[in-house]
Amino acid sequence: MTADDRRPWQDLADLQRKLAASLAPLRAAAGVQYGCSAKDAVHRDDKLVLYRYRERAPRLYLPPLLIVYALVNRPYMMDLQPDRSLVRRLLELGIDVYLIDWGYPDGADRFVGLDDYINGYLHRAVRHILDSRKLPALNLLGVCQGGSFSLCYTALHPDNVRNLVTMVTPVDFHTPDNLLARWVRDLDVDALVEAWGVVPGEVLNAAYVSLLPFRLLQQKYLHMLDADGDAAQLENFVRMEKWIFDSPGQAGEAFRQFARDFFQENRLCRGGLAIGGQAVNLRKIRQPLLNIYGRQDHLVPPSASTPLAHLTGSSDYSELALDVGHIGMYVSGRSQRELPQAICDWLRSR
Amino acid sequence: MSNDKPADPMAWLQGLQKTQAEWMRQWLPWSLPAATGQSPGAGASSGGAAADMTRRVLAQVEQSLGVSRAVWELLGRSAALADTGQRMASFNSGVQQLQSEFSKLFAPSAAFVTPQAGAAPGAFQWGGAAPGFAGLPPNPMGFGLPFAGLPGIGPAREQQESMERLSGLATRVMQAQAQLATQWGQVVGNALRDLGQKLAPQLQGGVLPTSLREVYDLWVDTAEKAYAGTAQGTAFTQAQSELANSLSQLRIAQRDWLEEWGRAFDLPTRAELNSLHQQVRALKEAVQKLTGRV
Repeated sequence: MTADDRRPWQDLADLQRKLAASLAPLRAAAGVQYGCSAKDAVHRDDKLVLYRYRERAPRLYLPPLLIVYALVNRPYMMDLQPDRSLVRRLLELGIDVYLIDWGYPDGADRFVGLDDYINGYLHRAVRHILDSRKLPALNLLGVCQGGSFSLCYTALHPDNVRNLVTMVTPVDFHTPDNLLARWVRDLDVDALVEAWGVVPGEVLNAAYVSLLPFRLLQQKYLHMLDADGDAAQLENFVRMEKWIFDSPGQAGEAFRQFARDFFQENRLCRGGLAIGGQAVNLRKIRQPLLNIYGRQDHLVPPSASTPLAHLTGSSDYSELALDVGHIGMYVSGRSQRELPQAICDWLRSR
Repeated sequence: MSNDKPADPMAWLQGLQKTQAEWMRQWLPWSLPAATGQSPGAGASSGGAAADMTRRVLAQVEQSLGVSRAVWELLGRSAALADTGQRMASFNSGVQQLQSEFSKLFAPSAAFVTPQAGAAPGAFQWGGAAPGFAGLPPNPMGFGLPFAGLPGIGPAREQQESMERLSGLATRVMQAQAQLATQWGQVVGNALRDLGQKLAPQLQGGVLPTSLREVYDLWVDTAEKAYAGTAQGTAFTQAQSELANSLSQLRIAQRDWLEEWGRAFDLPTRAELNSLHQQVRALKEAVQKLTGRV
């Protein structure tokens, strides 16, 4: 048998060897921890907890930055581990960082709607920061669905926001390459909410992995073995897995409104959106606006995000596109190197 | 392609596969939680996340290599033929056979997909799937109920209609699953076809992929492209939505059925709790307004 002929058989043997090498580190990674930056809970409101991160460098003379994450995933992705933490990098650059943890809705939250989240919880968190720090306005950074919320909030309460940053934020939900939005279009949202009350995180997870089923349900796990037993790499992998599948349930009313008004009727982009009876007019956003998106994002394709350029009344609109995917925006080496500094520089110049 | 053929490469591969399977059997008990009684970690933390991860990895390795292994074996058999024409014919025929075999995995029972002439939309057809009941009239409400389709009468009429609704919805769910399975069958079939088209030029030129991993990664790329092409289409979207929607309706009907029993025993029901939640919300809003927190 020649060397070339041996190669395929060596592949299988190599796979077995890597698997054997991975079992012990995987077992050791069972109790993986996440979140690496010290923080204090400064405000609580039902299940919401507002955190202020402790400084890691002398703070710049800038309004604090409030991070508003999506409801559909846990916000510790922003501070996952020391070498993958947007929060940590911002703190090291002197930014005063707050973050909203929405918590895990339960059956008692089934009637919580977007008005509660945006004009209730988010507004009260913003007021807490401004009142406790005696500030007129703060900087807002909205991530994914949190970015959509931040746009709505800024349009409804413009006086409270100095500068607005949106990250991987969907605005136009009807672009042709948005597969998730395509699937939601024929969904009987009322029946789903009636059936579940609080829509389980597992339902959303199933939808997300269904976007790339062969990669996310198969190939990813084989590629994990390329770590060849490296404990640190495998621990990182397990930590990511924890975050990916640690999805809170969605309060039924909020899910209904978001799925219907944003996904199905595209009202944030098209117009006609109302939150708590108040019309959301993106033209009322006149703050400086930085829109960050990933060119490889399959969950929020660039085409879903870039229409923001023409929807607000801001005369200071900037875009920052990185060659990363949706999750890569938070944790990739490239985003860790480029993103925090870019955000800091942008905020400092306004 | 080398002219030095291995003595018996297929036997070699089979031997290695047996070794792999035996090795996995040895390792799997070690990685399972203490409940198996075989784990050296018995009594200690079960390491739920890691054990679950290990099981998933092992299952995926076996499952993922299935298609790649089948393609690899096909490549090996075809490459062994000296004549180029025979080689390509063997390969293309093999790809078609794989398409057929893997697509069959997703083929639903014809009774669920193809209604017989004159049947009500969504009806489950006895004649095709249950020959013993072929003499019964078509059942527009579902299976298992000889008198289904007749109006409920008597004191239990409400319960009878609930059961008929449940069985009708269960049928709807199964039909939706069948429709979606058909779509997945197309995805796999198209993916295998496209994979064959990508590998054929290599085989024709006498250059085989050098690793099983290469075949596997190519399979994943091809499968994702085939999936994207189908998943964007109306048929897939509608099949998937219909499955989700019918499952929601079934769940609602099941809950309503259970609540009937709950009410009979004076147990709290969903409707009662919802009413309480709404009252609590109204009270909270009133308190917030009074305390000026809005």
